[in-house]
Amino acid sequence: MLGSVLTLVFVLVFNFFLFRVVQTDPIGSLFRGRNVPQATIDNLRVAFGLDQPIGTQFLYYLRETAQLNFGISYQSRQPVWDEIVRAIPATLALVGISSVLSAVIGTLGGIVAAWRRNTWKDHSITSSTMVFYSMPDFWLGMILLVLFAVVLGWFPVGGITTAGSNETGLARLIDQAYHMFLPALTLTLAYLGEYTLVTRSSLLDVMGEDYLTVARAKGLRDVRVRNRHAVPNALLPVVTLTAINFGFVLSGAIAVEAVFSWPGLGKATADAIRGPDLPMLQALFLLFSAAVIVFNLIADITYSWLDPRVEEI
Amino acid sequence: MSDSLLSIRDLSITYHTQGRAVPAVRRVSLDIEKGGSLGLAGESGCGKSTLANSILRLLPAGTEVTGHITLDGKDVLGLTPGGLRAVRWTAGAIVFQGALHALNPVQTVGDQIAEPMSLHRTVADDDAAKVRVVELLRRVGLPAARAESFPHELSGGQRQRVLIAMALACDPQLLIADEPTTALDLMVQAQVLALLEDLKEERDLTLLFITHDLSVLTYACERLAVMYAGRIVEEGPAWEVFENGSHPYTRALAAAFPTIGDEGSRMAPSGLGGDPPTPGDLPGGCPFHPRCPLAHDACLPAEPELRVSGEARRAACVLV
Amino acid sequence: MTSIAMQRRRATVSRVWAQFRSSRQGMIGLAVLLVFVAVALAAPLLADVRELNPVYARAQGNPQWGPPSVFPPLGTDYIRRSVWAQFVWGSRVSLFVGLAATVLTILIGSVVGIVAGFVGGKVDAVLMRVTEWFLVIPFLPLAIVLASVLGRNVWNIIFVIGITSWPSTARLVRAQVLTVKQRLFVDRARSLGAGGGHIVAHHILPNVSGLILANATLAVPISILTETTLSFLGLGDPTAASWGKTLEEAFVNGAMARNAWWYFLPAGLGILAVVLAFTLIGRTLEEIANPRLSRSR
Repeated sequence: MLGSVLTLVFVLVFNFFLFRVVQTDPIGSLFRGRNVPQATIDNLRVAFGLDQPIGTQFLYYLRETAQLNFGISYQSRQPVWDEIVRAIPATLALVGISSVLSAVIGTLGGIVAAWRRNTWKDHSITSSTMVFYSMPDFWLGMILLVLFAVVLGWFPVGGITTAGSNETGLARLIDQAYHMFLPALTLTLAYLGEYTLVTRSSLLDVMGEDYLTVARAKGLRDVRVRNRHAVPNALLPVVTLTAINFGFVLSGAIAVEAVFSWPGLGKATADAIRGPDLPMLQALFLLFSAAVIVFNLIADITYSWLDPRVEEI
Repeated sequence: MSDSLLSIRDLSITYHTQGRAVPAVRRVSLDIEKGGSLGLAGESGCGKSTLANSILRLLPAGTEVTGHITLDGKDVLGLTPGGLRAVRWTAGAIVFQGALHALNPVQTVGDQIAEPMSLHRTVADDDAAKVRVVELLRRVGLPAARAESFPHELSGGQRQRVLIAMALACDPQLLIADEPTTALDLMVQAQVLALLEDLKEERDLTLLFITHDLSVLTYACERLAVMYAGRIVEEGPAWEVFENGSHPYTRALAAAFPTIGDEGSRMAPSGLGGDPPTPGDLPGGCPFHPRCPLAHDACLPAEPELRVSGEARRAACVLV
Repeated sequence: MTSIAMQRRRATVSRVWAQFRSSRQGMIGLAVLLVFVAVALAAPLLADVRELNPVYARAQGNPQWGPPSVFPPLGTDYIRRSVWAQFVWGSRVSLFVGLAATVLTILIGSVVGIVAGFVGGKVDAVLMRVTEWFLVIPFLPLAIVLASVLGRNVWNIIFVIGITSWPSTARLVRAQVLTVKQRLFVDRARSLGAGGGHIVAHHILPNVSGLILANATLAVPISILTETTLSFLGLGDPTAASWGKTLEEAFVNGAMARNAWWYFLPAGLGILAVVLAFTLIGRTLEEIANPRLSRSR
């Protein structure tokens, strides 16, 4: 708990200095080469507090951050936070569904592979997940997009709703789910590998344990030995991985969202890069870091709750 | 021997690892009559735990097992998977070594003790199982509240008691105790031994007791069998074998004495140089000859068979 | 003394090689990797570098968006450049950036890990805290921010990857250094009056080098994939076109809507093959360096 707070403080400080180094001339970048009277610039410097010593500036930054005031986006001229709030639901839906699917399918795959290790099942599961694991996720997205949207025409080529449609309620939801299918499939396939490989090696470790022999000696069926004794122990590291990954995937979908023009945080990031839209990038970076910290904490709490050997934190 | 509860005939067990055949148990025959007790001794790697696990067919898949094992009149090696599961823990149960991870770390010990009861339907329902768990825990000297504990919350001695309670869950006839006192300090070791002795009397158990500690076996068992390199090299009434071994290896084991504080060499056979042979690479002739203080030319040509060495005694040594 | 050390090193190398050769996945990985290294080295022989220049391509009368059937072997792109030439020359950039970034990653990670593990105490505590912080900062956004700030050239990309991916190496190396330190011979060397530098060079490094090598091999895929993603997001070096840059141009210029598969398939397959090759080699080396792993696999 204390560690998480310290880390958050570190991220805040880091974020402040990173963008201070980056943004040597924030006022200048605001006008981007246009001719502006020096007096205006000076006034703005005072207005933004840039004439203050660095300590004061940091306090100012902390206050603004606490109020979720990240400035104005260069690109849209809207408050950055409003832009982000608009993008959050799309990312949460896409990344949430893909993460859950990949965690569940990947874990099941890892269990089957380990329990039947060195059989054709194991070999095909392990090698196929390694292939998906080794390709750039956005490239996988490009291939699926061309195949299923361009060539076969089964799915839309991008976006979250059909252009020009003004459906509401359930019809709108179905339309969005239809648009989400390909990006979600891409992310699920891309994330699968890690869960499969981690589950497999974790279960293989557990399979050497004596309590499994004991369970068999008691007369338990093989399936029950696996489900009641092996898997609960093998899943402990997987649960941690899942929670930690949730923090990271929020930022991991940047390129895939760009491929499918999915209007979430990832696409916002990809768009901000082109500017570069520094206020937007700064806020996104802070948000992504905060997500990782929060989910790390959740991982710790879940672990201590699942494993009786770990003291409550 | 119609009154044998456990009868093992010509049992050979061969592991196959990485294309190599490793004989762990070689042509072993043993009998334990109902209510009897047999101690199986030998250094680690001699095949005694493999033998113990084979009785409930707990060996890894792909292990080659030949011979016959008859437990409570059932041909263990010929049972169907369902028949085998029915025999496990009811006809014979194992007290595993508590120092190992024999208890599932994420389940309460009560659940683990109750598991075979509901599985084999020896209790009417969950409530009856709970009652029986408490009974068993009390019987092995643990408070009822321990049922809610997780294994890591128990001491080594308490874990061993839990494993004993667990083995008793379905009232087995044969109790196989595999190193149940290893890694416990001497005081606790004595308590666990006394508990096993009481339980055996009280429940008319048949006991197969396995450890490298010959003095423990002599205390706990009527008969003794000594294993070396996958074979039984001597067998007979416990006290006589211990006091007056026919095989040089038995005498070395009997002369071993504990060195306090040193787990590793605590039971090192006295006066023996070297290590026991690796099962995959046995020396020719008598496999014990490279370490035997009495080895001579007669030991080399062939491995000696077990032969009578006294009343109800057998030994496998050319000097017998 | 040195000749003994040399001999010992040669013996270790031949032992590792013998073990490596017996691993099927390791040998497949190595074979694939060698093919791509050969392609990268022989690039001038395989494709005329002028084919990358749209002006030259137009003067040659190349078709626009020409499929492989029209312009073998891999067709042309939206400005008539040969995709084959881009593939061949892109392999150089991708491999170079991947390897150079990994060297930097391993260098930073090893130095931090060795110093933390060897010196211990407060230094260790501070270094490990910093390492933990870097582990928490989401790596891709950080790389994006740094890259968009520093500017778009190959060296900045290498720097960005190195500075963002060292923490896991540092942790691994530190753990290994601590184990090695526990062993008797370091104490013995110290009691004989050997200095810290000597101990690190002669006792610590030789013992952790196997692990570092395995870790480095497994870090290359991450470097290559990161470079690809950064390039795809428009942060790549415009003058040194990597496979990732090819994918970006294909995406931005509508190769997908045209179903110009020949434009974006080869680069992606190249990345996939190289990443997979390094992963297979790395896993094999890891099993050799840490035998406990191989038993469970």
